[in-house]
Amino acid sequence: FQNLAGFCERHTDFQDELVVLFEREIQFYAAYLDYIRPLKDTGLGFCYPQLVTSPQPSPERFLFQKDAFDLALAKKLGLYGQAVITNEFYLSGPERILVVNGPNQGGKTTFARAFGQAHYLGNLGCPVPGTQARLLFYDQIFTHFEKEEQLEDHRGKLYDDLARVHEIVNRLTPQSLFILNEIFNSTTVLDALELARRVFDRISEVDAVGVCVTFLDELADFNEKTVSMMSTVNPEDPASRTFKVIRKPADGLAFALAIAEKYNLTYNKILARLPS
Amino acid sequence: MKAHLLFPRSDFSPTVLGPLQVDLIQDLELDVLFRAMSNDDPFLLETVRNLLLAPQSDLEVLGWRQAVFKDCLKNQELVRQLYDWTVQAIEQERENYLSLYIKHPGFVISRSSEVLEMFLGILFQMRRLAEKSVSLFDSPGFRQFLSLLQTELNDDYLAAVRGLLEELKFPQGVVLSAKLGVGFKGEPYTLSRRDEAPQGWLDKLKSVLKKRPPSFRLTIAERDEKGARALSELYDHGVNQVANVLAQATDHLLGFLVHLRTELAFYIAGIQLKQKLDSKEIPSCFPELFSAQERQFQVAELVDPCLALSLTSPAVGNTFDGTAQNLVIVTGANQGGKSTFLRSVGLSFLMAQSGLFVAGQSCRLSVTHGLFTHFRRKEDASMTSGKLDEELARMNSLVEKLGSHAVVLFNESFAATNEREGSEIAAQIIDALCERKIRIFFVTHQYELARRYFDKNKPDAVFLQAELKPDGSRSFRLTQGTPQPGSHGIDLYNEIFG
Repeated sequence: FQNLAGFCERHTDFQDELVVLFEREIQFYAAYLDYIRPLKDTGLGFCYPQLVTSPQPSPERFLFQKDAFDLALAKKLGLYGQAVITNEFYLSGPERILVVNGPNQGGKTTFARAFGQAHYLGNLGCPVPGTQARLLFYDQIFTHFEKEEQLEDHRGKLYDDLARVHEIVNRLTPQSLFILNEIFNSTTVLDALELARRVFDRISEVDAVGVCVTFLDELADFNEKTVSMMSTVNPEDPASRTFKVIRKPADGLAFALAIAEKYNLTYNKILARLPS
Repeated sequence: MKAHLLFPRSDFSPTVLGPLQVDLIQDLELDVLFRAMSNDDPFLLETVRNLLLAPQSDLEVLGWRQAVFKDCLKNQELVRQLYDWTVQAIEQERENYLSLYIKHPGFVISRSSEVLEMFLGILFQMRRLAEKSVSLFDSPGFRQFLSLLQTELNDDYLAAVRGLLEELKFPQGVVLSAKLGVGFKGEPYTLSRRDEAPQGWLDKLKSVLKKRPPSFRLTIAERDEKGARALSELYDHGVNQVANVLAQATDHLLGFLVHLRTELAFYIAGIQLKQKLDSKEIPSCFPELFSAQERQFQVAELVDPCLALSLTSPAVGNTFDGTAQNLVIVTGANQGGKSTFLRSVGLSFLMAQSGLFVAGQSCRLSVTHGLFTHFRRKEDASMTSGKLDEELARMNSLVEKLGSHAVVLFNESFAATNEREGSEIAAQIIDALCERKIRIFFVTHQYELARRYFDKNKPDAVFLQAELKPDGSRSFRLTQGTPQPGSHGIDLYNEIFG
């Protein structure tokens, strides 16, 4: 048997390089397609996005996505047989930053994630969620989502936030993509607003494209580059969310009052309940 | 016969705890207070819990109790002795009761007699104590009680009862009278003695035991079991009435002792707490109480007694005049003593309104018509979805129970959402409650909310801050002043962004 062993040894690399390479690389495609097939089966759309390197100075929509959704969430909902709400976005003209407002748990972060996912996967060459899309072919992608407060970090959450944002702002180029989710919420509204405005100034200068999820609705009309989007509630039952995020001006406290109303705790309701 | 140490004219009966009271216990950590007062004695603990959670707003009742309590503090050993006697009596009765299997009237009589003898023994001791020490007590409550003991349990009474109890041993057997009824059966068999119309239970007994001369004799043979049984049944039949009355009598005295025990237990627990505070030199004082309408609230060096007891160094007290203020907003550094202040306020109301002292150097309080708490729960620290809903639902049920002149303590309420929403929701509630003359103490880290009221220059609002010393450490003292944002965001920005 020594001959056999020797034979094996001499020909360990009998495999054709090309075939091996193909076998490995095709896995990427196959795996992704396998992943999205069940979602496609439920009727969700996927498409190959058009990719642009920088916003064209034209009035038409240079960046958009229709019927988009968060892949990870869709998978999870699929397991429970629940429907997936789709959303769309677009940027045209001078617009660069989507500022997303609205009540908690209304789908803002999901929207931001979907935006990020689509770009990331699109930049890899994959088909992305949605029926039609034109996305940014970015040079860098930055995200800033809320992290657990580190106990060893004596400087506090605000310092941490600022340090990370500073890093991002320094490296942004006009071809970069950023996603900021609830920044500066570890401080007072007054301070957060001032800080956010200063950061927006810098980002605006650079002309980068991105999403900023925040409850500071003043940021929504910061300048001509910001677009106001809101997670919406059901007009008949203001305390229930629709998970639709649409372009509309921030309407401040509608949700707070709506939920207070639901529990009969508005000023007028309480006065009526407690006779003098 | 009732003791009336808690109420001048009525008895105390505990009510069932509702969910809002359970909230109160949790938020103000009342279990710590209950345990400190009761030294973990379960009866004391339950009594204290029932009384502290039934705050009184009647100034007469509170004055009555404060006077009784002062007497108790002056005569601690005597009060303890009284209490121990009631416990002893009740314990022995219970043992006796437990040993009762059969409910034959014969048994009932002998058992009740024993218990009655025992009670009388103890009551006699109490009376003697009352005689000796009536001059040591000043409060109308105690004076009334002690004179009650002397008048109701006078020598004649005791002698008469003793005599009767002797008779009820039936040393010479019983006398039953009967008539012939249907089928020549004898009925009804009653103990005879019917002189005057019965009045008290004592007279009732006497009337039932009247003697008549016997006429015929029938002896039951020794081995006649059936005969013996028949005779004992006759006996039971006849003495049944007596048995009932006797049982009633013992129950009546038992009731008195049980009530007395509860009332004394409350004061004993109060004494125990005072002793603990005194041993650590924590100040305590009897509050001056006013009607709710006067909206008095003035405290000097107020502390949370439970916290004070658990510390090794002296607790920091707060001095504050909130008279005529409807809204007290407390902001400031974390861990700066805000929640402690809130708890000390809550406890001062509860303790004052049960007739006890308050942990502070001086205190002038208007009574409330209901104390309520709405605290952010510790497990909510994760701020996950639904927390705002839970808080609002709780607030909703609270509003159901509110009336004017109530006091509500809020601790970081409605913060389970962004500051803007939270402030708006809180403001709606605060405005409405103030409008309805409900006093509010609101601890919040939401600067927006504090600032909103500060800028409005609301005349009946006070702003307290948890003090931060120049070196950054906390003094745990609250001071009046402008709400500070408490963050240094712009400085940090400049530091990082250059």
